[in-house]
Amino acid sequence: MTNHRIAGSFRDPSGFLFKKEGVVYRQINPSGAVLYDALMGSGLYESLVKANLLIAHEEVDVRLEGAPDAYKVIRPVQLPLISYPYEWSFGQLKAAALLTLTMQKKALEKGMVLRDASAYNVQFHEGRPVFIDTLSFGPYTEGELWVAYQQFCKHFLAPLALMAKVDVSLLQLLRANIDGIPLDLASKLLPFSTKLSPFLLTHLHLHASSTRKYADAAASGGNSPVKPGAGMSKDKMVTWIESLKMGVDALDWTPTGTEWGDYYANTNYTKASHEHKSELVAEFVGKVGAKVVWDLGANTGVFSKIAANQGAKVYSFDIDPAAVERNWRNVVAEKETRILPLLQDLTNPSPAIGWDLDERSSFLDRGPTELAMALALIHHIAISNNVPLQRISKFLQKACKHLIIEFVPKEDSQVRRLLATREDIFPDYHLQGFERAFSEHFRIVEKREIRESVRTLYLLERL
Amino acid sequence: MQNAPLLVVLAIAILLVTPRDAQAYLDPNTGSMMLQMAAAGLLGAVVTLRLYWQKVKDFFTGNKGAAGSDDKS
Repeated sequence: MTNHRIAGSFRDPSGFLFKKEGVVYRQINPSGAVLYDALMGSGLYESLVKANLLIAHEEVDVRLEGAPDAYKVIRPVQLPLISYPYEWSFGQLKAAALLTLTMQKKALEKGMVLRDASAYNVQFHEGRPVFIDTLSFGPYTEGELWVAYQQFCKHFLAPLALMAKVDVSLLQLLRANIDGIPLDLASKLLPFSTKLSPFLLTHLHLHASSTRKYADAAASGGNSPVKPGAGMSKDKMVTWIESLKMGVDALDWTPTGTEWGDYYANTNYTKASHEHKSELVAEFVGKVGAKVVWDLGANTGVFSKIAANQGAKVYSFDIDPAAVERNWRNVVAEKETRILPLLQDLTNPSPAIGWDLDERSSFLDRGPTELAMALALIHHIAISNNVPLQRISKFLQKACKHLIIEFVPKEDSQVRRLLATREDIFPDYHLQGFERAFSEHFRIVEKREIRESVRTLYLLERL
Repeated sequence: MQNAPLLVVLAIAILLVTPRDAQAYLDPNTGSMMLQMAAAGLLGAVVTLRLYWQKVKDFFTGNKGAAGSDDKS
């Protein structure tokens, strides 16, 4: 287990994250002392942590060898998996946006201000968004403007508006733009109707024009009607934040026509086979005793819940933004603290991005997890995406130590449907072929046929 | 360099609107700063009207305390 600085943590000179013996710590540099002391001394930390808005931490005596001198080192509450904004559903990004604005408002009440508004400062923990960057707060000076205003619009308002008003898949622009969607791009893509909202008009369209205008003025040295001013009062700052909140609040997206919307209704599962599968999944999860489970192709999280009931924290991945949104809405409605729905296309998983390809980790780099579940998934990858079984096995071996996997044969109505419109070029897609391919990377711990179905459920262990 | 005086004015303007917070590590972006100064008053008035209108609506519909509550996130 290597001790190292976390590569994505370099922009803010007031501190950095590091990992030592598997634990994540945050070092506060001497230059960040004033920020940290103001946060702790103002009562802001206490009130935010009490309200579950900011991640709690304790001061520790740990140091990273070879690092510059520390003012302090803190150990925040540990999160088993870090997720990124391009892996969130609309509702999750919106919740993270509202959290960020709430933080700014509460900071102002205590004479502090948010120095940045990056979506990467938010994580989801126990069913709710939580702010994780303890060093984002600084003392507020009367009259100052909000430094993080543009970052907020690029990281939150622009993607939310594009998802709500153009297409939900435009979230993926965040994957291509690590510091948020450029405002002129968002302004260009958004429909005219968004100019009728005073909030979207100001914060996105006029903001894009103003950014362009002053960038041009600065570059050409000129001719700009700039009037020197004294910033904005605190009251104005508060209403400015409120206007951003109204802009965010007005954006909505409701999942309709999902890829898997009627999946459970249309499968060839009988009630008995569904119950049997549920029992087997519970038994296998219990047998592994995993604390963390990745449910791959989780749909709306039906089996994630079964794993959670066995005491696991479950990351519930699906390719479909509508399924993830529904899963998230269930989590919120039921105050579910053990499941986190996330968007993930397994045929093209999140890559490593950013500086030195090391700022944001790839999907696989955030594993392997103790246990993964791939239920009713393999046919979608093998047949819809032509991935050979052996390659699926190789990928899953990198992702997990134990695997619960359901084999869905060609006789199954779902597979017949996939093959109805295309040539069957999959001569090895059968139970023996599956076992042969997976035996290169896993050993079979359990193998059970699912009652009243043609499917088989396996518990595998990585070789 | 006939633009020199303009450059000086622009530089002063940028300095004046640059937040005085010495701890800022983000580039605040001049366009974003200028927009905040230019639009805060007007948009603030829209916000105030909206909140007021919401209160009037809440009064008649019996919906208590909905306006401006953002602490539930």
